[in-house]
Amino acid sequence: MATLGPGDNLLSAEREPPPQLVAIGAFSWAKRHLFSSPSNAVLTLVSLLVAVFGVRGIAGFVLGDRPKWGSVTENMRLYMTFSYPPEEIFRVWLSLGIVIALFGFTLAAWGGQNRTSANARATSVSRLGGAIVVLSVVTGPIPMFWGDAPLSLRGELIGVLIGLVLIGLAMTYQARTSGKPERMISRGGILASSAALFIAFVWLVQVPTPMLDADGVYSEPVAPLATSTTWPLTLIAVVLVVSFLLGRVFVSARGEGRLRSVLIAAWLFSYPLTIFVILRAPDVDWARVWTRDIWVVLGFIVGGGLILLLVADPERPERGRMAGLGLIVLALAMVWPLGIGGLPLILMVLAAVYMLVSPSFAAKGAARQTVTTWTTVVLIASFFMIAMDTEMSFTVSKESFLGGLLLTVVLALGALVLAFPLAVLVALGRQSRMPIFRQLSIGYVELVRGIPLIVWLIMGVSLFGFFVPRGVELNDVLRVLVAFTIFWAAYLAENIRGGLQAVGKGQTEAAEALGMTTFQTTTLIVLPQALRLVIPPIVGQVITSFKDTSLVAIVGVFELLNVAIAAVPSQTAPTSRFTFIGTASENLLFVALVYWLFTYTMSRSSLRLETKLGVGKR
Amino acid sequence: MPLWRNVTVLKWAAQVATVAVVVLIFLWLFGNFSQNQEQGTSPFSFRFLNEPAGFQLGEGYTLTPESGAQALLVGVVNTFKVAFIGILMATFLGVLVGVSRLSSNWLVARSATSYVEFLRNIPLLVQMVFWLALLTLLGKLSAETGPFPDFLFVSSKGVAFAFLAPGAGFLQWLFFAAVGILAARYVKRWRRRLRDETGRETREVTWAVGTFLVIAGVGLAAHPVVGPLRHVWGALQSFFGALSITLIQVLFAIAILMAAGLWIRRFLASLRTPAGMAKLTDDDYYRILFAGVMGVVAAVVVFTFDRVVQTMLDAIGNVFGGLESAYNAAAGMPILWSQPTLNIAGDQGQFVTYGPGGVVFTPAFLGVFIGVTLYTSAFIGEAVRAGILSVPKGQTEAGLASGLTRIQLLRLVVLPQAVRVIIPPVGNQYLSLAKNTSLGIAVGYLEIVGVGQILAAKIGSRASVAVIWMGFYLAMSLSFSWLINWYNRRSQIVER
Repeated sequence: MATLGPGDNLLSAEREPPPQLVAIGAFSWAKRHLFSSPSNAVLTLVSLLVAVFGVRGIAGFVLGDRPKWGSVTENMRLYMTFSYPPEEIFRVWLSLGIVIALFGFTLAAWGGQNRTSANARATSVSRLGGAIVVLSVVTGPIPMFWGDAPLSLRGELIGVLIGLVLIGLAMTYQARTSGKPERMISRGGILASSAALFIAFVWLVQVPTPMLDADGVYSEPVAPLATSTTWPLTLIAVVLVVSFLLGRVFVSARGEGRLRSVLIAAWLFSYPLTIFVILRAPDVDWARVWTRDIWVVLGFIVGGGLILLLVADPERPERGRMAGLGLIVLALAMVWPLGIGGLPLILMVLAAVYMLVSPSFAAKGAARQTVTTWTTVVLIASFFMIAMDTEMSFTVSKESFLGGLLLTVVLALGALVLAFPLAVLVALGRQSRMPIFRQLSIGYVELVRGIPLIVWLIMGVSLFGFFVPRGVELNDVLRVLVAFTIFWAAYLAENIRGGLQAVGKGQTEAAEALGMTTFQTTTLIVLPQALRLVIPPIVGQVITSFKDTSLVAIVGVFELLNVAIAAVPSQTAPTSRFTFIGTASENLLFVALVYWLFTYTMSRSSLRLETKLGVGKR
Repeated sequence: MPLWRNVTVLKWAAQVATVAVVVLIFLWLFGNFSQNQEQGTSPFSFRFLNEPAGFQLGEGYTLTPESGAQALLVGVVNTFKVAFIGILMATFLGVLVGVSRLSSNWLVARSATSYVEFLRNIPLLVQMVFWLALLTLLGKLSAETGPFPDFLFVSSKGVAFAFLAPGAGFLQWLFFAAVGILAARYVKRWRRRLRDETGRETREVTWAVGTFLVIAGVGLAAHPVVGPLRHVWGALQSFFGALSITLIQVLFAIAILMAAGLWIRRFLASLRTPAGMAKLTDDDYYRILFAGVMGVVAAVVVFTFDRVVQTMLDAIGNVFGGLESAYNAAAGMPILWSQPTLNIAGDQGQFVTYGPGGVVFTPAFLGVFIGVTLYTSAFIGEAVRAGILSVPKGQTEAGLASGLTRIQLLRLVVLPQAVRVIIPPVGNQYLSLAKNTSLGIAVGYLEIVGVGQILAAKIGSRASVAVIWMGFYLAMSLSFSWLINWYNRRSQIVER
């Protein structure tokens, strides 16, 4: 029986102890799992031959004798950020740092118990070792880190040795502690030691670095990473550990709930903050802000607040609705004939929506809270509107300041975030008892899902311009963002519909019996339960979306894949230092690896999330 | 109660307002569109369908399409070709992988797992481009490149192999094949009835297949016998040519109105209770009104599209015309053995391409085909695995206890139960495979999107091509999901 740690609760301590590992030798294991019968033995040998020689054969054939891995390492900046100016690259690191810090806090807030079984960790270490051994044997001809000798055995041997050492260490630990009380180690310790290993790796690793000698002969000696990469990576690893520890301190002082709600807001806020403020670096015209924008914002805060004080009355909902409708009419009038756009229009629409929903949420006598929320909403919205509506403080050589992996991530997340509200509306419409809403939603979903994404993207890029008034210019990145949003909303809607169907009818009936309106029932009772149920399928959708972003390469937007198939292989002298024609295979393999790492990590964490949420287990 | 608190009124007002907003948005979009079109150089029209295509295609049943419509048809056929072969291969691989993942052999199970995790986590487009890059590295094509000259060529120009090909008498033989299928159905029913009556094993499948093979085999030699049917095809062609469009439109309109009426009748019937007619709520009245109005609107729409009706009639007439010319008595062998041939050009014969013989898979085709096949097989493998796991363990144990071998167990106990769980997700995978072939545009495969892009570049406008794309894919998806639903319903009835 383990002693209770501070993070343990009684429930977990009372669980049955896990079954003891029966120590079996490698030979008896192999006999049982691989050679139990003659036919099984033949199967084992055949699949071993197919696996090793198939993969090695294909890889060796594709890469040839001398793969130019230098084409990947030399272009790493293109892969990550594409055309982002090198002298402004600290903005990218800063954004990454913010995301990593949030990630550290999130680990602390949602990570569960602070301690974890050392034995289980040892098992995962030996699994990792096994994976390294298998990978080194199977992918022998794809050495990334040993430069000049691609087909020699050296790389494979190093990989196999590292893997075997890891397995040996883990197994020795398990053998020595078997039968003794289970030891617990803290997650912070694991995180810190992983970060230390990562930092050591970053400083010690040597990568192929392309060189031209005096005669212009190409070679790839290995060299350490540049300090302009190693320092930020080190800092980021430290930030991760520090934020995790800070998060744990906060949790033990104030509890998890508070940190969680702050974090959700911070995550939502971080996306526009990093993209529109840090990366886009608006050159804010303070004179204009102080003379014009500030008055618009103040006017909306005061005016909207006053109207809200009058109309946000749950007992007379029609007042709020009437005010909302009035503001919609006003907003329409601003579009035409007044022709006012920009900040005032956005704030007017926001005010209209806020008025429409306010009677459903405003509690009686809580007018101050309603007005405070309104003020916050206006401030945040104006902040980002002003940031978005300003020229950048530096120029970018290409159409958009986003590119490479950065664009891939921004597209996948941005379109999903935009698609989500639309998807909720469509899913609700499809479940609605009102026939026109239902038919419209069904029509939307079937229309969008029936047509392949690439057709939507081509139409988005080449036809979008025809459907907006003359003079409205959108760059390709925004166009594909719109196309992705429309497309993914339909798929997300189907996921959410599954969750809506799973919420029991009793919930709705109980809410109605309490006198809640349909709107309140939906937003306060049904949706929270439904959305919790559909988190795993939504993570699945995130994975699919992440993979689907590669399609924008076809319409000529430079995300990760397009860098590999268009930018790098077209590098020739004199515009580029090296000629990388004919390096498609190396670059494609690299890109495949990046995609794989992201999606595989996501699918693993979605499995863990599923177990944690207990979806499908009740 | 004031009007603005009447829930029914509010509900319908909201819905009508939503429709109005949607219609307004569309009007606004199309208003912008036509305004932009007028100022642009290339007006929106479908005239290019009838005009000469004026470009050559790299792949398809004809490389020199006569019209834009034929070029698109080549694209459609190419889409179906790669989708069909891809579905066959992906199913085979997927079942293999799904079963392997559950193997008791550790290495086999782990290899299958890695296969799935590897393929489904890498974007399909990356895989396709990778396979294309690999294919371009294959050796140069020459008369000596094998591996089996005259039977199989593998080179950077693609793969060509010997296969059966339809001959001149193929369409006549097809008649025998159709008769054979009908006869096989009948024989199967008869043998099944016999089994049910007598309790003896009647080998219904063997009998049915045998019947088909006998009739199809006879057809190989006897196909000129059905030659006189050409008079029937000719008569049908002139019948469809003589039909008046107005008549068809009237029939369509009547059918639509009748469908609306039928829906209203059924709706009313569903409200009927044993105690008599249920009281209609306001909602029900609105519904009936809406259905009636929509029916009238649809009927009116039919009359505005006489061009579409005309094209449909022409297409049907053309099919019968083609049949008539194919059914002449002198037609040759229905099925031929065709070997790959090479075209050798250049002074030293250095430009070698595949000739018309055999089956030729171009690198672009292979890139798409290998890509979608491997990618989809990983997903099908997961569906198969889930389906097999859904069969309760007791079934396996009971089967083994009653002395079945592993193969028998799989064939007679596990698979029949698993198939019902497997089919719906696998059907959806087939559909996404068919849609994913549109990525062929990235590797230069000329399916409908690729051909459409060429056409759009030629006519300088993508809007009309986009409408055709949307129509094609919508028709394909909707009919496919209808098929899956139909199967689901059918298999559920069997299930009790």
